[in-house]
Amino acid sequence: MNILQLLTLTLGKTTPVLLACMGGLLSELSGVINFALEGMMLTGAFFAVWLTYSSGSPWIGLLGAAAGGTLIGILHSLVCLRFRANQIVSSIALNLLAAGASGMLLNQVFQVYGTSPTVEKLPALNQLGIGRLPFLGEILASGAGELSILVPLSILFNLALIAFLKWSVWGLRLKACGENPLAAKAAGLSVNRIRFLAISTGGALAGVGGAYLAIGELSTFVEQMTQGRGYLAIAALILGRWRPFGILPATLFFGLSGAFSEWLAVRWTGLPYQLFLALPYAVCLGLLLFQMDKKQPPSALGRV
Amino acid sequence: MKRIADCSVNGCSVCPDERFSKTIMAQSQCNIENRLGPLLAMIPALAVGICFCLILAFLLNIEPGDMLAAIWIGAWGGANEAAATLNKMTPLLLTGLAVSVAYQAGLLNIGCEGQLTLGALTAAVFALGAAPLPWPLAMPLTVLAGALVGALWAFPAIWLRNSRGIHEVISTLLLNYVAIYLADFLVRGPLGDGTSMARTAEIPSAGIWPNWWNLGTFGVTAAPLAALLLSCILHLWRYQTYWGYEATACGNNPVAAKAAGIAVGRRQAWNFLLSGALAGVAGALEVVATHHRFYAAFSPGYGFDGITVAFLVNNVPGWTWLSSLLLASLRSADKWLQISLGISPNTIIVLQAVLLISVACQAGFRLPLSFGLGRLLERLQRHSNHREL
Amino acid sequence: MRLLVDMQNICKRFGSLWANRDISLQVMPAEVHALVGENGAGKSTLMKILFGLIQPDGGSLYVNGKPVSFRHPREALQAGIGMVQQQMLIFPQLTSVENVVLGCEPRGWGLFREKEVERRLLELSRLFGFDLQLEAMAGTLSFAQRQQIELLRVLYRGARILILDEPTSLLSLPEVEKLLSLIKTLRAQGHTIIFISHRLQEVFSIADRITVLRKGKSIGTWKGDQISSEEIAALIMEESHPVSAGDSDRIRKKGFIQAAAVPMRPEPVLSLQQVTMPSKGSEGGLDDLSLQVREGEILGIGGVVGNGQRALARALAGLEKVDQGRILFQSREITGFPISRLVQLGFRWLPANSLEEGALPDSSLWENMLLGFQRKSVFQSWGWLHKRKIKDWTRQELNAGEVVHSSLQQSISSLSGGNQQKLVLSRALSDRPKLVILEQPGRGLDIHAQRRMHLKVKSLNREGVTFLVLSYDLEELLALSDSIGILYRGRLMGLVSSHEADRGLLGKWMLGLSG
Repeated sequence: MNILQLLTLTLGKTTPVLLACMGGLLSELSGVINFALEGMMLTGAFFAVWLTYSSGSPWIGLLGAAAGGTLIGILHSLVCLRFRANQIVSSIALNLLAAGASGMLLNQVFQVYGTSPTVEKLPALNQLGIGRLPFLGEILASGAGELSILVPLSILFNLALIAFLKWSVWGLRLKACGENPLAAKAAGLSVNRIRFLAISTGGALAGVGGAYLAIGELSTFVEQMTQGRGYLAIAALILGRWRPFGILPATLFFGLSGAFSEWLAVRWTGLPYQLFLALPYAVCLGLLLFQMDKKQPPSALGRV
Repeated sequence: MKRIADCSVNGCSVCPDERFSKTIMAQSQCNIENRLGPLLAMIPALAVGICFCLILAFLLNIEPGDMLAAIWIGAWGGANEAAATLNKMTPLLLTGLAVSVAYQAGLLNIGCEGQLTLGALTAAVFALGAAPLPWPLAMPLTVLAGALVGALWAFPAIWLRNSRGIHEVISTLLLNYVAIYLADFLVRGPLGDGTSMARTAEIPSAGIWPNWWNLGTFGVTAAPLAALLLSCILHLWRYQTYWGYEATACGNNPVAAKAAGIAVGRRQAWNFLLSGALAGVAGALEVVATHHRFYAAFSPGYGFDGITVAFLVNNVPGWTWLSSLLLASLRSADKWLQISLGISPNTIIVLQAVLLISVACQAGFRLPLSFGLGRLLERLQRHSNHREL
Repeated sequence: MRLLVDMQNICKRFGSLWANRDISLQVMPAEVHALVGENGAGKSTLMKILFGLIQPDGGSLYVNGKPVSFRHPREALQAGIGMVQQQMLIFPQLTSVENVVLGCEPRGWGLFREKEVERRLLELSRLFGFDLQLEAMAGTLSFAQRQQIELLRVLYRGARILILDEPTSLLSLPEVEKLLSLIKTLRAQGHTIIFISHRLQEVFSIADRITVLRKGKSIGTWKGDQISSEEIAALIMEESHPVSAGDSDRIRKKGFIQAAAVPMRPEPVLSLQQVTMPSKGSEGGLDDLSLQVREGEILGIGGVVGNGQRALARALAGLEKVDQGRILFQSREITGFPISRLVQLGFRWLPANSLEEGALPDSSLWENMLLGFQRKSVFQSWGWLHKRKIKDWTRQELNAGEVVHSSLQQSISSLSGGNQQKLVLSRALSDRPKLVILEQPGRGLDIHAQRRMHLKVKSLNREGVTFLVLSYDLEELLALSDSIGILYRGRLMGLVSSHEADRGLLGKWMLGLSG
């Protein structure tokens, strides 16, 4: 595998985590703990396949994924903001709900267990007709063309998020809610409404992350297909210090460790494949272990 | 603890401290709330759960009665089913205890899945290796080995929390995945039985826990009894010893606990390790009592069930048998639901999530509920006091 | 000259307490008007009414001759009134600019026009001499700079009338100078400033007119050059004639306890040597404080909120480490000792917010009583708690402390505030302590309960227990203590025996005037 292939693989593994991480970022910046990214991704993945199957178009599936993630986000807002439940317990419960519901609906809708029938994927880069461009053409031909369109889209989303949080008024107000909700209220903001919108939009993003797994990479839904990526996204959030700039390198690192472990698995066939599967999580733990200073979350995170 | 916005009487001579604030919580939490608190938590959640079942039945065009009946039959319909349910109670009770022990000190242990898995693997390996030992020695040691490994697996999470401030939820979740892959590798490789079946050899009969009740084909092992015994011990430990008292203080108000001289960090750490140990015991007992070997993908999610089990009874060890019995029934019933009504077994997981969400939401309206009950009881008490005079 | 603000017959009541009773206040344009008075006099309440945070129960308000009624600070801001409160509402991880402008950000196409704001803020800063770094995160700024953010916040929104509530309480002396000159500049620019302060020197250095409030009523308004600080101090503390030494006796005879002659040994049992602690939150720190408590003494420490009492209590309770200095107990150094050691040595602490800092809110009465004593050999053996003994002891203590309760099992949150206080107090006084630190012991207690508490303290004192009483209530200190010291800005202004204590002198110390 050459460098370009490694890069391609990395980008592919980064995308879902990046999308989920962005979703988590929005929620946590507004002051609500969100560990339900796993459930949002899974719901998004399922809805993507379901709607693609029903409508025939993966783009509708993509919208469906966003809707599915948003649904989990709405539930989380309701439970945390209206009922003031423990935000972490709510997140865990929603993850459980998504796991069960996706399996249940898989059976109801498709009458199968485990894996859904294959559906149409979102277009890959080499299907977009930009292969004729001089420089890009070469890159695409050497394997990067296999990447889904969601990959560059996710980077675009990240840039948009950075712009939103840094330059727009509503980004500022969102951060204010997570810093000091009392002061925000005194300044005239409707804190709960902003938080609700943040969590729901975050859910949509995480749902799109799940869509990548289902109709971007594979073209089917498999039960539990998120495999803990939602939790990696949270770790990336911590390592990225809750900054929209920081999450990109953090998620890239996880993507790289995933790609690297796949690469190693091919080369070092002597070593067990489970090692490579566990590597991203172990790397993540290691990074958390070795960070020296205590990261600064939003000052009012977890306080309703 | 909830507060109303800061009292507007800043600067008044009664409470000159500018930061005076009122608390609304439990103006009337009384005697009954303390004793029956767990049931107060569970009953509304059950009500919501049943509503969910009814809605689901309606959506799937099934008679609601059929659905609830199917759950009952699947769990308790025959001798075999009852035995299976009782056997399932063991790991659920123990993981529930694990979560409640951690939560008592204010921490959330979501890593029971990984701790259970590794505890189970350790127990299997130990039982195989301890074959020469007589069973009165081998059996407790096997379980102890599982407990130690479970605690060991919980250690990194609490260490990360105390030294780096990383939330234990994230670290335990990541450790879950590492544990599962590690166990997978070990059982397919060096610790396996040599076949391609991703499992260890069967443990020798000296290591197997006997049945105490020959219900059905397989009977009920002594493991649920052991788990019940553990829950009694933990209940006493929590409410009758000073270690339990200190841990509860740490979870209740770490500031006051610290000011009273309790070493909060250390107390929390011990509780967390105990929690890991309990999850390890859950795994160990599954091996020595039920399955007699370890195999890949050992736990069908018992670690997460433990969270629901614990929270349904408000984390009281003495009541955990009730919620674990409930969840064991649900788990047992999933096959029958599939066969008789064609409902996916995943439905049970959804139901569980609904129960957990309901319990979590109750923080919002349990207070008015206990407020009302409390007032009522106070009035009754006062009335009876007056009558005595 | 036309009145700028005219508050007439303002009344405000909280429950049965009259915070403002028929107060009238007139403020002229472009003047600095000081509002002085003790804790609880009603100053903050009055200003909150002006700012629209609270609605008055009676009276009327005129701004620029027009009758107004503010239901929300937004409306007050529109009328040009802005308030900087004592608790600063800032966003720690946002920049100064963002802090100032949040809620009325200028925008174009949804984007935050930061440059515009920066320009305007630089203008304002230059005009008034702020030294604020606009790009810095607010959480890293000093109190003085955070205060500048708050000031900019109201100035940016066009406030011409500025209300400052105890603006200097957390500032160092040079910072106070800066603030005072800033206020002068604001006045020169035509702004009107109303500020609440208990620090008379500062008041006199800039106030044009001074209004004195006492117990919810306005005593009068004087021009700054028509009255002296001594007279103001006297007006704040007592009836309108100066206090004589005989008054302290009069207070004692009002029914408080006469101190029996307690033999006091002269060696200090507790000694603080040049202790310095930084200020934290809204509490002042300690500044080179040296203090000695003699064995068998009841030492009272008074002062206004924010002058270091909490810091002193926390340092002695072992919760916080001091930056510099030493603490000695019975001539042994105990600086930096862990809390468990201090408890073993016989230290007890009744925290100011007894429920939040000293109680377990979800636990029952006996569990709360046990806090700190759970390892005593009389209550447990090999870890097993002897519940009956514990409950018996709790019942005893609760009855002795007159805590009204119906059952030992009930949660502490179901007791009234006063009873909660009594419980935590009983706990602090139990089990043969050596040194007891009482913070605001009388808070939340009615007169009889206070009296009984004083009795208990005195009787324990006769048995040899040393007390350090920190209170904002001078009456309480006078009734209870053998000696009284006053903290101002983290330093001891003076220490007198309470027999000789002159209430006027103590009041002056509290206001920052020496001797």
